[in-house]
Amino acid sequence: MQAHSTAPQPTRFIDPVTLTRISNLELVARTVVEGFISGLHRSPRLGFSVNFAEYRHYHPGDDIRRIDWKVFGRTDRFYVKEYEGETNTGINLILDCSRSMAYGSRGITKLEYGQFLTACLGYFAFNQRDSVGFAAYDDRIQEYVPARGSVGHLNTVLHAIERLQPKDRSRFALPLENVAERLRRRGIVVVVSDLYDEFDQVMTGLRNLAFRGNDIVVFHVLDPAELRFDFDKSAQFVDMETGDKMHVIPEYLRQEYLRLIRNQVAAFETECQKDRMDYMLIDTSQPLDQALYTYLVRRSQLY
Amino acid sequence: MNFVTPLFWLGAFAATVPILLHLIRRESAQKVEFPTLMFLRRISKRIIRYQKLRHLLLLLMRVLALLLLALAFMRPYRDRPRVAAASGEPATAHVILLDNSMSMAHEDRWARARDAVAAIVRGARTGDKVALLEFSDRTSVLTLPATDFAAVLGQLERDPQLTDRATRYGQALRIAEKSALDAGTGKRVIHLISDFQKSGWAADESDFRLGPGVELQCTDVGSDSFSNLAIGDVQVLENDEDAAGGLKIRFSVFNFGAEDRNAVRVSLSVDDRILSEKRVDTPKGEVRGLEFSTPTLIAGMHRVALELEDGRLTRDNRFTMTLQARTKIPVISVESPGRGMAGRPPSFFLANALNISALSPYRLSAVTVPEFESMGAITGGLLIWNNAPAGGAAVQKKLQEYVKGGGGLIVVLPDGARAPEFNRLFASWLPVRIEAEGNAGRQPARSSEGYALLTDLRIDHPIFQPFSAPHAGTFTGARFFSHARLAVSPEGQILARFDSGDPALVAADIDKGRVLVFASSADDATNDLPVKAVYAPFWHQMLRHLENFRHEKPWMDVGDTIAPRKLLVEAAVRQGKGNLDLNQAIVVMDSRKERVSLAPGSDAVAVELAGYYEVRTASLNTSVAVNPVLRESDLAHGNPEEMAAGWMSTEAAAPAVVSPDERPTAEEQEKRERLWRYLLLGVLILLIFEGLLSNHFILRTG
Repeated sequence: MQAHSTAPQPTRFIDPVTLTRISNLELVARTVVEGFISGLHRSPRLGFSVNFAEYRHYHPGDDIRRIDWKVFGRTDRFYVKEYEGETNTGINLILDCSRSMAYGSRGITKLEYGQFLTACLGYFAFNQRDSVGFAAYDDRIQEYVPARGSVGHLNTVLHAIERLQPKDRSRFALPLENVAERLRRRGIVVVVSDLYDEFDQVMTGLRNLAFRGNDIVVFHVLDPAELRFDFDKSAQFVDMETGDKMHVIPEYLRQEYLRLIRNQVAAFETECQKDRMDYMLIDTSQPLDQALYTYLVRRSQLY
Repeated sequence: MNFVTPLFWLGAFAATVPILLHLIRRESAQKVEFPTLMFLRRISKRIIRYQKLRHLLLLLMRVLALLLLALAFMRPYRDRPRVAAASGEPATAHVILLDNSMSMAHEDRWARARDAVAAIVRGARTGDKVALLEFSDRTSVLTLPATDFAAVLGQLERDPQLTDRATRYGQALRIAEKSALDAGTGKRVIHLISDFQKSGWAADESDFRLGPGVELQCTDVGSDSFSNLAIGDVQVLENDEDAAGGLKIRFSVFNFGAEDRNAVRVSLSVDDRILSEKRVDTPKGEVRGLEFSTPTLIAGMHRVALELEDGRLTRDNRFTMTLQARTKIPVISVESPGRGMAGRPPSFFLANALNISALSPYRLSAVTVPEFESMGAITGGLLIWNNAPAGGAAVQKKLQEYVKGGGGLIVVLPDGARAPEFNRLFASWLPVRIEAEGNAGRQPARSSEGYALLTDLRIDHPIFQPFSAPHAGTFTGARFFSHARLAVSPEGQILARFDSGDPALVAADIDKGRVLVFASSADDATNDLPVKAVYAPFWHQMLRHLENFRHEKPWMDVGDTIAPRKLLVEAAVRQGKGNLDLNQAIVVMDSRKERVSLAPGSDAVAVELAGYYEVRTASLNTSVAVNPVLRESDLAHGNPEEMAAGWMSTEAAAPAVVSPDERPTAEEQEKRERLWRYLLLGVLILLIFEGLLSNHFILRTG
């Protein structure tokens, strides 16, 4: 709503390449999130754990300490004060760790970027006392940490994120279906991937996740080179997932490639919108907290 | 094609630079890991092909520009003779003699001959010169020796046409030899393409030999097995059995082939209507005589044709004629009835000679002097003053007017009996006098035999011309027992004398008319000529001379000349028409309805094809029949090797060398080398296009 008018200046954000120099992923997450939250204090209307939400009638079993006595004094009735932060939920972070995610033309790979992004989101959610789960997949599930809100669970999640290595080619339908089967509570599912699979397969996987009532947030992570195709010399292009080769003269194919990419992104946007999913294209050259900020703005519009 | 600086061909290697760069860049392309090729693979192959094609076009333009540049520096020029010389042999002049005589129409000879010409032209080497000549009894140069073979082949498609002319090799070989020598090449070959008819070699050409250094190559399209029928030896005779004046047409059917031809249909048509047909069997190599009779033809010109059926060579199957059926010309004999021998009229023998048959153009009638005097003005016909009295001044005046108006008069003076009277009245306007000496002008025979003979005949004169040939009739047997002694003034022309030296026949032109004076009798009173065979032809010839008659052959031969104006004048005279506009005279070949062009600067045309030709102007027309020469129908096949051996020179062939005339002048050389300018221009245009195209691609692809 008013988020755009109070958005922090991009210059304040930390360059993702700089983050790669920080070896501790928790430190990275803290750096990003705390910097991000300090910026949010300027906007008191944002945030969701400290804000008053509503009054409701007291029901037997409610903690009597939560009764608002001032309202009782005025109305002679028991009302309990509720806050938004109390709508705590589970957030499951799903990261694509296929070989295509290992591509990076600007000093940071898509996988690294995804690791930072999921770590930040986990850290951020944990501070809100949300339970955080994590899954990594390529053509099958490589890592899975169930969502919990206990102390020390964040370390488990961050450790799982940190040790990820690109392994195989990506598949969407089956791994995401497996993840969906393991989710016990409905919550927020964040998918971070370059979405390199057949369009229908990708949408099938995402819809499997959304089937149980989860709110789906898709971060489509692409490298600037993939978005601009700014190669200038003919070269032997090697598919990182399949190993296929193709002699490419970029000037021949650039226009058509860019058209196809734009069409693909537009198609994801359209389909996700239809299925009430949040879709966001992220360029790995963009700062992480800008991505977080954009995401939270969108989330705030939903609550 | 030759080059001034051929070493510049090494520059052509520069053209490989773009190709090598292309290949090297392609091979050494670095490997780039890319997340996925799924989008790149989805890009339409058509787009990729189009992109590749554009760049291939650029590559080709660059390569072509470099090649043209190298070629331009090599300074190419056209020097065909030198190319031929460079191959080790001098340039050759191929002079092709194509026989287009009538015999080449036999079966497929003409098509094979044309194919042979095309094969020779295509087989000529670069730098050779080729000339194409067609020949029959006339030789035409279709193309002069030239290096443009395509032009010769084009000419071969357009020009050569079969004619109905006869074959004559000698003249054709002479012209071909001259053409070959004028070509200015080191080697000369005459290609004779013919059916090698034996009849094509005339006896008067037997000593002809080609000069040294001229080679003769023969292509024989003839054959020893052939068959051809033809019509010849045509004669038009009067039909003695037809009192109405019909004609007999005698002719022969010649079988020139090597097989018997039986039941061949032969027909006679008059004015395109078939009147009669016959079947004839003609053994091989033999001749069969035939005869047709025609009914009496009405006055005027008639087209008469003899035709036989022969599918092998059809051009000589039809023999055409134009027969002129004339009305009888009246001939009046003015005589004294009682002066004939034995009670016969003086014109007794004349009547028999002139009224001989329906075919005779004359009809004689006898009148006395008073009857003649009482006749009105004489406007037509001929007149014989047959030893009649001279008559009065009125008669003489009438005679003078008749002669001066274009009439013809024969004065018969059997002796000098009428000398005073003749000299008084006739001699005043005729260049003849009678010398009246002793015995009233009657001269005794000078010889011991008591008679005189005719001598000193002017056989070049039209009257005696038919008798000039051997066995054509002789006057030596005629005896003249007495005659009038004539004295002839210079205006008179003595055509015959008696052996005494006295003039026997004197001719004179009086204004438009003609007069003959015969110094003996027209009957047997003073000579025995009437009982000799030459009597009737002699009198016919005298009358023809008087009417200015020209005997017309009923047909012409192919190759003869048609003079349309002359023919029209003669037709006008026959038909009594005037006011001809001869400038509009045209000749039309009747069968094709094609106008025949007259030779430039001439009012005549030589006919190439047999058939009827119509000569016409606005108010008059006449026809001419043209037939092939009979000997051309004889397809007897000669031996080409023997014939060629007879034509070849016995001297050693001249060494084949490049003539100094072949060396080009500086201007010619510069002209030949002009190609490099166009090549550089081409390079410039290519590079401009390449630049434009390249920029266009760069802008399109960013």
